[in-house]
Amino acid sequence: MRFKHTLRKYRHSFHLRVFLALVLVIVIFIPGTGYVGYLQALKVAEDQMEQYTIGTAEQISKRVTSFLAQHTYNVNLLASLFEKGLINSTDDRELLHYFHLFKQDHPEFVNIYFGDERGRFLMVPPQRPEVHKIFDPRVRPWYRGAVESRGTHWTDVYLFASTQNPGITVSAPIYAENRYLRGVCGIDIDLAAFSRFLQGIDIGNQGVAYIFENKTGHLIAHPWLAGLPGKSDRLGLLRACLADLKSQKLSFGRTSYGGEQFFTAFSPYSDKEWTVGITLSISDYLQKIQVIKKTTITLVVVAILLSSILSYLLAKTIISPLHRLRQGIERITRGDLEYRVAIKDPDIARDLARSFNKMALSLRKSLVELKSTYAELQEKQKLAAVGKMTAGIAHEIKNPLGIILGSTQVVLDRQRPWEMREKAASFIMAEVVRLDTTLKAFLAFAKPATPVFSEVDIIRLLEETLSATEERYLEEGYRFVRDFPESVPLFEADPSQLRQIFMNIFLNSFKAMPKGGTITIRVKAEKEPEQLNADKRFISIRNPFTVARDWLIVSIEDEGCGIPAEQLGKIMEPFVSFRDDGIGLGLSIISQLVKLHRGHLQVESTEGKGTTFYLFFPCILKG
Amino acid sequence: MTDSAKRCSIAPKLHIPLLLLLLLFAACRPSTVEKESTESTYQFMDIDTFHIPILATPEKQLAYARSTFAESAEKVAALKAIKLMYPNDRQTSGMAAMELAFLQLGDDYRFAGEHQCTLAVKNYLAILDEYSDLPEVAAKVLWYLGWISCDLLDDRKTGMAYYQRIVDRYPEERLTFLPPAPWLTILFEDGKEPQAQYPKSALLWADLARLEIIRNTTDDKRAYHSFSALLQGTSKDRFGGLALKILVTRHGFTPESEQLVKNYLSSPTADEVLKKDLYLAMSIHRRNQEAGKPGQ
Repeated sequence: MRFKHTLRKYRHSFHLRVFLALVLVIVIFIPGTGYVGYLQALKVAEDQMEQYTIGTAEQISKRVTSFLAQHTYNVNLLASLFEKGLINSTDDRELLHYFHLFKQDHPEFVNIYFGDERGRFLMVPPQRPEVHKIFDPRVRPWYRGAVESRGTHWTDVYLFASTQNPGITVSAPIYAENRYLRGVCGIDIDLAAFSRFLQGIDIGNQGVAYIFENKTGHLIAHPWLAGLPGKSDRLGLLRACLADLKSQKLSFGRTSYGGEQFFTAFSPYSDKEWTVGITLSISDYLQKIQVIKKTTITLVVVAILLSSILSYLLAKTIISPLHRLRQGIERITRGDLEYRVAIKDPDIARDLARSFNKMALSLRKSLVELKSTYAELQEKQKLAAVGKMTAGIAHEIKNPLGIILGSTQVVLDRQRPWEMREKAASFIMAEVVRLDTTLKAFLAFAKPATPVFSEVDIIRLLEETLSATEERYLEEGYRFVRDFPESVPLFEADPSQLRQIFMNIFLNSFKAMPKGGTITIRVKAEKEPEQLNADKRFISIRNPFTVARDWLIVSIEDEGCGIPAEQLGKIMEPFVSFRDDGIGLGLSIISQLVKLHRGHLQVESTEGKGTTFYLFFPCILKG
Repeated sequence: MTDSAKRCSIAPKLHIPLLLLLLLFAACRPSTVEKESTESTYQFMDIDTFHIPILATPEKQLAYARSTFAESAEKVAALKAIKLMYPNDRQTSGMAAMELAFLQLGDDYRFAGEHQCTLAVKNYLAILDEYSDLPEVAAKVLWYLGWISCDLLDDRKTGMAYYQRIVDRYPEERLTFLPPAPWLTILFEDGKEPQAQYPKSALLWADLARLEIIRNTTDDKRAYHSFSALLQGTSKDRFGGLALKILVTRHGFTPESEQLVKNYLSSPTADEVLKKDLYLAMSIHRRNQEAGKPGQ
């Protein structure tokens, strides 16, 4: 319950709404700006990645060309040395010595060899003897290729007979002066050595450089050669990249492998129908961007937190003048018209405070004027009432006094017969009684007794009032009909004054029905009764905001002659009576007593049918 | 307000900026890139001051020793380790022992001195003693003994004896080529892992021995006998052609060998290069015949 109350309080809090509006703006704009920045950085990084991979692939192609050119140059040098007779090809030992020296100078050359047309073959380092015994160079691809091309020849990838390692060979034919083919010399490049060459190229931490043969799709160089057995499943990645880009006929693109994204760029190496590939993990490459992303997220969170705190303070700054104004309104409502709001806020808040203070000053002036006017009015009303009352009293006293004067003259006239003088004395007596009654009524109107409130059950009180009079009036032909609910709420009232009200209304009804009739009494309790106008629901003159919602309604209906419409508006006025025997104070007293009970009196009447008095008393209905 | 109360009220205010600064610091700190661990999980054995990793199988151990190093003391240590690591795998130990014996011949056996050859022979003989019950090892050892004797020590008689022992004792033993270590083999078919040891070759050690007998014997009959025996084996056009070429170049043409050459030349599956050699040999022989010179 308390929580609900707190929740409702905060839900309607203007401070909270301003704060939430500011936070909402911050929550939308700060992450939005951060996200746009991140996307732009990502785009730049991806462009860089593309340029990096393509550029690196081209660079590696150039390095490979240079690496292979070294072999080509040296094999041609060897062939020239043979052709010029600087190496004696017929002397095995000399040739082998030379090859050893050559190998010492160029350790990167895996095998250096010479084969001739007779099937002789010499290689450094030497072949295994069991292989050498059956080896015929003339059937090998490097030999055939050189012979057929009559120049430098690069083989496709094949298995070396001596080591069973895959590799490629560059070979050159050696011709005699008469263009007779003397043999072919060759230099091997072991693919493992080729891979090691790739490992030696600095391509950064992220890239993986590799080469594959276009024709077969075989990976002929990759960087994952290790000295010890290890996992070779990473080759699957390179194969997946190869298959992906080949199927789409692209030279660069993305590949998804093992739940990770990779970027690959291919650069054709046209000399050998190879392709140089560079593959890199996008997430690895974009690691810096990821750091930026994390930083951005953290900064956004921190910014939101800080902005929220600032928003709270800002909202408080905006709201505090309003709070001060509210306090001012409350103080003024309580009647403290001297209260002023402190003017220290800028702009609108200061203007608002000034306006408020002006309003308070104006109110104070108005109230002073109002009080003065009211006092004047009261004085005038008092004088008017006094005049009216004086006129009424004069009217009411004048006649009896006239009768008393006339009768007194008769009583004092001894010449008059005794019976006449006795009758005149009785007239004096009657008029004195009448004067006494009139004066009592006047006193009751002029100075009504202060009600003594206690909790009253209206049904019970009505029953008590009726029981005292009902029997007597029944004989005179009057009947009381009760329309009471089972129970009605108790309300605060003075029982004796209530009885006076009811008796006066009953007496009015009796006078309206001289030959007897039915008086119907109804009691009910209602919330905001339609019958009672909204402006009449106010129960406090001092506090116009005090509105009673629950009302106890007592209606007393007679079947009398009714009141003409033109008289209906005047019946509450004092000393206004439309009957000969009335002094015109009965209904005025009732109205006054009802007002003392914070209630209202309404009269509805139809001429010839009857009159209904409605009495409204404020109460509290349960539920 | 007391000092402690003041401290209490100030402390939370200080904590918030500190917490924010810490958050900022944590966010801006570059994340450590996980480098691939180069530390292997291998266990090592110390041999001749070298740390030799212990691999999963003896075949891998042998491939590692053969492929990882050039001729060096470390290679020797790696080969020695095999027998110590896998004493029960005699075949691999025998192969490793043969590799060790081969290393006695130096970087290039063509320049091996007599001492080196003798040492190698000594080693091979010791291996032969130890692994005579393993045909894969014994046949290869005998062939290497024959090769060292004939080609490096020029002791054809002894060499021929070794070759003959192969023919006699291991007529069906096939050659085993030792491939490079699989993890150093870059080229292999998709989905097919390279093997540490190739399946045995179609060639027999006995045929290789016969080829050397043909090459080294001075006895033409023995050469022809060996050649006939070689041809009786599986169909080997290229190997048979090579043997025929050696036969006719070393032992000259006879009506029998001439017919053999003719048969070979007319064979559709014959090797073209050897055919050219045999044509050349035949034409020289005929020219010599016409010139009245003995056939060569």
